[in-house]
Amino acid sequence: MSSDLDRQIEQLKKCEPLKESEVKALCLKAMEILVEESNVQRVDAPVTICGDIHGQFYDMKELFKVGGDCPKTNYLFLGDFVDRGFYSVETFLLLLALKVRYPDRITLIRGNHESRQITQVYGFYDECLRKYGSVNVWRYCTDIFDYLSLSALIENRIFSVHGGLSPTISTLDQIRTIDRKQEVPHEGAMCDLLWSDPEDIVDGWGISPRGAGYLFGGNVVTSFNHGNNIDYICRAHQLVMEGYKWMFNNQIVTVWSAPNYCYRCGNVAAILELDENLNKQFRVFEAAPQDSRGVPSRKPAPEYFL
Amino acid sequence: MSMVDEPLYPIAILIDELKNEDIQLRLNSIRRLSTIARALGEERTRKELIPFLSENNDDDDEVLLAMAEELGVFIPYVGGVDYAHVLLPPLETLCTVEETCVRDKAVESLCRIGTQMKESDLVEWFIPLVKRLAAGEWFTARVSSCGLFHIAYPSATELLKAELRSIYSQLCQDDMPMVRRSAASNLGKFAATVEPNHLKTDIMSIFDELTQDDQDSVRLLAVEGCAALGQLLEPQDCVAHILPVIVNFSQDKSWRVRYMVANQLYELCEAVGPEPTRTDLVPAYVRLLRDNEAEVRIAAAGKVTKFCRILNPQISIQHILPCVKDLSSDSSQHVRSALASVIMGMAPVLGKDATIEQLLPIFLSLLKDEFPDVRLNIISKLDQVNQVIGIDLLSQSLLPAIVELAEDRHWRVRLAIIEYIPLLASQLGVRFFDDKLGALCMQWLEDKVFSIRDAAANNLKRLAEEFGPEWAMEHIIPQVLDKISNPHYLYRMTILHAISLLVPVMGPDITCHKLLPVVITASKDRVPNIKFNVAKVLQALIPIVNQSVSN
Amino acid sequence: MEKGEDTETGGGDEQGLDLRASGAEVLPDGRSGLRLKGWHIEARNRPILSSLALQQWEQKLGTTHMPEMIFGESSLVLQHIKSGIKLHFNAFDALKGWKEESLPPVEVPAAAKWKFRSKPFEQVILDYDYTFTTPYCGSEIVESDAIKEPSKVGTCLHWEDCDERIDLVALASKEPILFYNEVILYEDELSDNGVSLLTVKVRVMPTCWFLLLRFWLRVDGVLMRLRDTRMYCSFGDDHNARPVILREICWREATFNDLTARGFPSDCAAYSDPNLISQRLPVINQKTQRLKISW
Repeated sequence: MSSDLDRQIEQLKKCEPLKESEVKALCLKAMEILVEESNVQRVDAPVTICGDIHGQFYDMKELFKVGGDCPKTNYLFLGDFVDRGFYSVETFLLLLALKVRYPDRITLIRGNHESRQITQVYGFYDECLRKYGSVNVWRYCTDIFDYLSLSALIENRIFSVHGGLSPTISTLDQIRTIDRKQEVPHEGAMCDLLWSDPEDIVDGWGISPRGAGYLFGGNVVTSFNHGNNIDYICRAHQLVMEGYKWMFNNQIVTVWSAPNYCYRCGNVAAILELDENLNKQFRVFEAAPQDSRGVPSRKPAPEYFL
Repeated sequence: MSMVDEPLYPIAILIDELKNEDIQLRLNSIRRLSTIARALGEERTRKELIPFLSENNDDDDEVLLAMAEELGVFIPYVGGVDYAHVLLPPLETLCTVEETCVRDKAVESLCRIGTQMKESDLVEWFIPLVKRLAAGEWFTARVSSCGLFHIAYPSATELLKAELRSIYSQLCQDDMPMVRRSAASNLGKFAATVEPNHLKTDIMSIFDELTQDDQDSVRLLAVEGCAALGQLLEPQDCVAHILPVIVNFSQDKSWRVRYMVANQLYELCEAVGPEPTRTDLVPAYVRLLRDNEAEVRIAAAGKVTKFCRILNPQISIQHILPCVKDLSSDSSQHVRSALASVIMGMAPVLGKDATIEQLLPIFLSLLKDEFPDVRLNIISKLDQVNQVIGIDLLSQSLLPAIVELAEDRHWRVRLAIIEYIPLLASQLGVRFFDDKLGALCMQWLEDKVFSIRDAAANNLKRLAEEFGPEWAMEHIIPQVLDKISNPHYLYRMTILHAISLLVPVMGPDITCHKLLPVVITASKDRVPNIKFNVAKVLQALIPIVNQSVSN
Repeated sequence: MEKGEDTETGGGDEQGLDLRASGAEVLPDGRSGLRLKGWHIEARNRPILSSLALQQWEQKLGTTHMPEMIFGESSLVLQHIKSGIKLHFNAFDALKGWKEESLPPVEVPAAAKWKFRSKPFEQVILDYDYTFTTPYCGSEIVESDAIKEPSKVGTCLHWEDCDERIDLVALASKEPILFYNEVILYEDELSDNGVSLLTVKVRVMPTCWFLLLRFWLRVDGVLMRLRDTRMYCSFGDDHNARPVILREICWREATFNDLTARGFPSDCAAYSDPNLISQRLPVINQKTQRLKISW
């Protein structure tokens, strides 16, 4: 059983997708593990926290070269494994396989892209169709997304979530009572945790100009951290040119782990390494060099546009 | 199975298979041609199989390619060299098809067959084939013919030879650039078969025409011909005819031609000889090193060491070194990178003094280049400099820069340095290593990037192998064991890894008395990852420990 | 290592021949562009702005919110050497245009449900146009020694409406492309609610150049905007004479409701490529203009 999984992991590490039947089996095994996890999953230090990956497989390999392989290094990934990059399938399956193989060494929580609706527009659905010729793998994966935990709590001191806070949530227990096994809703606490953004200008809560989506200011973070005995919040969701960014007097940090985002932004990425005493170190890294990746360098082919 | 059917059976099958829709089946049958030929016997192969193939030349390019290839080795099946000429007709047809690779293969096979044919047969069959193709209506035939002259010519009579030379000359003036290109690229081969007096006249005038063609691509191929032709001429003729052409080409308006010159320069210099190189080619080379187009500078820079070997050190220092200095601060990082990968080789060429005075500053500036590739290229060739100026000087001047690079912010540069350490250590010796590099090697164990820490552990193992367990016991083991109490689990992990790598080198005694206790203590670590790793390390230790116990 | 930077060398053998035949000179040292028939055309693709540069831009533009990905150092420049006319396309000017147009923000479909949830003290703040819609059609200036008086600079170029149209039929003929590049000026993912993308692409042929500056917006489930500016210049025989430059502005817009009512698909995945669906969006503004030089 385990040797099968090891072989699959080796295969995925070479950026080769698994067979459809293997994906189905893997997702079933993952479900058994994930169903036991809490909405606020307990994670022990030491652990290395990673932000959005967005299907940039070769850059994730770079991440492992800098941070160390799992299971030697413990990892917490903050979601958004899929969409936009070219290798969402291999990226997510590798992380899922590692989760099944080393459940105590890696934690995966849900990002706003781990959703049926979003993945149909932003790439994962199309990629599954292209690589497998059917929607089954996409279905298995999106079903598993429903089981991913919503947040993590490291040593009861550092709160990790993909997006941010919610006005309907002031205690961690309130998060625990959410029924997370559903498609990400368009509004409500679960939606907010995966979608909201910290915002400098706001005092308290605000709504984005889109008319939907919360923005929260420094005092919201302060009172949440204070009320829950948290040192700081670690989240992802927003692109940061320098890889990570502190806000509100070091009460919340955004970690972004997709270097040269969309293969053209030229940003660096970062991971947050916590040792067993919760000492923190940001490891900044660049995109994998051109010759070690699957996609050829982006040079536009001339077209007779009109 | 009647006697009448039997001989026809293989051909009938072949005919059927070659009509099959599935290209794979058709391919397979073509590849079994020799089997069929053997079944048929030589006479029937000549009389039935080959003519059948001649007619059956309308098929997929892949099938035709296979056919062209098979025919090239068919002489034994048609009854030996006496009958080789029967293979010519089908190949002649294949020489005219649209698909380049099929034509090329057909030409190749024809050459193969031609080299085995008797002179008289060549005159009777091969040469007329070449003349037919050269006069062909389709340009494809004329393109193919160019590749056959070097086979046809040697066996021809004086009269025929004159005719062939004249025909080739016409091909070089053909309307179609593709034909002229083929003539240009085959000129060297053809010229090698031509007698010296005709070489100087007919061939050189052909060559002159090609070098003035208005198509870049034709002139490009002529440049390649320079080297080949040069080697055929007497040095003075070479100087008279080839040299002016090279000098001209080095100033051609097309950068691709200049690029070709830069790429071929070394071979061209060999062809004209050392004196003309010194007097005429140096200015041309200098121009290429300063060319407008980065690609040309890259090609020229890559040859700088080779070029300097032909010159005497004086001239190199006077003329080439200033260019090298400028190239080391070229605006294109690819140029600097190309320079960096060869410049170290100049040290033995220029000698100790010039290296110290002129080259060292350049090495240093490239070591500090903003692009990692440039720095990397210098680091990987340091041993060539070491041989020239000696360890002490090297250590004084370059090693500070290397130490700086050991802390380069690009981890791949740091990685390259680490991988170079064992080599450096073996060249510089123990004493030097202890002074300078030892501290670095330990520092890398605590690098912030995992891949560096991993390489650092491997590095220690290789050093222990190089210098022996006693040395390692004094200079590596204590420092490594010390670090096992680092508060960060990932660093403790590295140390464990290093220990496990050192165990086989250090031997059972040291393992049992020094290393094992540390590992066992680590088994009580509060981080599960460490505990888990300890279990794995202990497993690997068992055979070594057992050895000690039994001793 | 430069990220997001592109390098272009001379191209394949055939392109080399075409370049030679038309008298074009590729820019050296890895720069992307060429000189041809009196024009200097160059594209630059660079990474997104650093946080520091972002702050500086925010100050200069007087805003606190900018697109997520601003390729601030990227640009496309077409300069006619003799007359000094320089057309250039850059993100800063485009964002100035956005700030000035200042459209009211568009609501996403979920907003309807949100109105019920939000408490009185939670206001919709930051009512900036988060779609970054811009009326930008490019920047033009004259850089010439011939203009001695500084006041004349900048005021001597203007676009005048005209009846001429860009000859798309001629452009459809497959003349060899001597130079081609695409430059992204800015992009925003609208917090995963769509896409806002400003790009410019250019192709240079032996007889002319042609470019398309395109602002493409899709707010998932709500609306789409396509603001195209096409510019065309045919090389005359005299490369020193003032060039004739035409530009055609074409704005299209439609809501998802409109499209569904007309029987078109309503899922956003069908609208990922503006090239495929531009015809479905009705034209709301269109005109052709000629560049007039008044000195």
